[in-house]
Amino acid sequence: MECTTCSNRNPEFAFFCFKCGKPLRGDTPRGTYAASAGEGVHQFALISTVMPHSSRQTADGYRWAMLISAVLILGLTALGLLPIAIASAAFLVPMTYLVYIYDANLWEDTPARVVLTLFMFTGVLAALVTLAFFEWIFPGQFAELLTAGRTGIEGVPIGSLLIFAVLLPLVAEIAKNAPAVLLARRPEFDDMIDALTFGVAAGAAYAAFETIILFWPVITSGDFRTTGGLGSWLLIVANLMVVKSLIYGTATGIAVAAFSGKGAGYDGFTRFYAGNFAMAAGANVLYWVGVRLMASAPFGSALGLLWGVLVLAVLIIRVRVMLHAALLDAALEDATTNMTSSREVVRQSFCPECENILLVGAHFCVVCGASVRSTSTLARKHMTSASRNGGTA
Amino acid sequence: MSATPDMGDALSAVASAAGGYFKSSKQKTIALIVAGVVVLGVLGAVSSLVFGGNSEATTVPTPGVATDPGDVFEPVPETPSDTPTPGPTANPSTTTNSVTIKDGVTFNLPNGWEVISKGDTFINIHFDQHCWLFGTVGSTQSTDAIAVAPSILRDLLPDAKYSNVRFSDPKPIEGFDSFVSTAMLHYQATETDLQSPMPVAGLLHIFIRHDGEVLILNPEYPQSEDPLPDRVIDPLVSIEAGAIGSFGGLG
Repeated sequence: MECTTCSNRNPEFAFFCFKCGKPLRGDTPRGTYAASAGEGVHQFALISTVMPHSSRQTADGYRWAMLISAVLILGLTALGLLPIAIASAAFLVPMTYLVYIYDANLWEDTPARVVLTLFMFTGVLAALVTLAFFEWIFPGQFAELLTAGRTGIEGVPIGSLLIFAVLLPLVAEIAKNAPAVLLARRPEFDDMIDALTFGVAAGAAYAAFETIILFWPVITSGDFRTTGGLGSWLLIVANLMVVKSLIYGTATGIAVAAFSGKGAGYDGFTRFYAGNFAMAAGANVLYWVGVRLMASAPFGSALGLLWGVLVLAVLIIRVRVMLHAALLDAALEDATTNMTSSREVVRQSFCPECENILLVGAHFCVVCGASVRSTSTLARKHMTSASRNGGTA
Repeated sequence: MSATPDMGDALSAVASAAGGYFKSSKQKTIALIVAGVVVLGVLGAVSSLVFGGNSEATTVPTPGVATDPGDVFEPVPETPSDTPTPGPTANPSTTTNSVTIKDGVTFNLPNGWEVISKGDTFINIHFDQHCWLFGTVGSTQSTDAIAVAPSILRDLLPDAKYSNVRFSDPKPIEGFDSFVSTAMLHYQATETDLQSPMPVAGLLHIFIRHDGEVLILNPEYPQSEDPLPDRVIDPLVSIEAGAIGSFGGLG
């Protein structure tokens, strides 16, 4: 049957066009996420969003690893062992991401250099920005923000609120974008999924280093075991461990993915990037303004955590919509040029998602709709002609 | 949403498992991540042991009261060396604003001190970012300020906002015979917050009148190595003295 979108001919059994990924039949599931065919585009799914190269099977491994680690960390928090719990919580997402990058064999020839550069560069920037705001330039304003808010929301000082919930997230977003954008400019990393990965890694690394600096007084307080206020600490550690890390990561991922653009090469500082950078910074501002205002209310930490989950949900959906559209648009562009693309399957292969046959020349699995481009590097190495170094994306 | 249709079954191949396209097995992935988290936790523990301060007993000077070597505290910034005394001792020449709450308790605010929030029974003021003073007036059945001091402190520093609260034994404040009972203590705590915690230190002053009315004054400041400067201590003593004087005068 012929695809009404790109006019390529597909086998009769096809549910999705093998070239452009559009649904072909009335009974084809609608809204299937191209990077993870078992899920919908508008589904709140963390792993497949921030780790688009993972398959349904491998995603399960990360899910279990994060769940086991989270239970362990929260257990330590409940026991009052805060120095251990905070250090582990700060680095749970970056640690998981490092394993993912290794596992999916991203940037196979230069993993150590790329990952270390990104993490250390972002870490240094995080340390400088955090120390500048909390120690060097505005040493007392944060204390004022905390103390003044005790008597209710009307006591929150606007000046300090603007510094720590608006100005700081804006400066931090620039610091998170800088190293990721530098990497996304390089020709070997010009794919939007690469850029998203850089952005998430930079954001999560920034969150980890910021957490360690801000919570250093707790780690080194001399109270190895805390006995009071553990209910609050459970909420704080849960926030550090997942919500803050992923809000920072996904927000920066969105901006850097927009910098890269959907096609080969990078789009650069376009209006599209500006809009998505504004969205990333705005999400961080929204998150911290909400946390700061809710801190003055009863159950402020719990409300702040819930608010963070809400902001994270919006960011996750945004990443999925953006990536899905980019995968489909880029494939459609390739399909309409009638030229062989380095992204397409060149030898008979099997879909990592559903294990059905991938047709030669395919950008998508005709059965489940999974994008070839979002599979692991090892899988694409087997399926396509793309070479990671210097190859076209 | 699963998208595996009938025709797909016919095409299902004996492909290598999807996990074959990844370097690690599921078990290895889980083990690597959990092991990494454990290693980082151990680093956190080592940092705590290596860089952690000593929270064993040390002595803290108590304003106006003989220091008890039994106080369990780390060193905190020097607190006002003058015990606030009842009576209008505030220096009127530097007072820029007077605020009165319940029972006529008046807070004379010198230059630089500002009201953050105020209600009928409480006031929250601050000087720059160096010091905050929370004052409140209420009623109590108790005539023993020392006995109620720990529970008042727990109300002021609830578990939902503070952890690691350590406080000295409450002691009477000398020289306030017009009150039924007085007490003071000092404390250290960590104020918890989603964005950043803050180590704080503070004092609790309690004055109970004959009619059962109680004045609570709670200066607090960020805990640091440096002592509070005189430009903070002097007006703080003055403000407290004014509040105590106006409260005592009505008793």
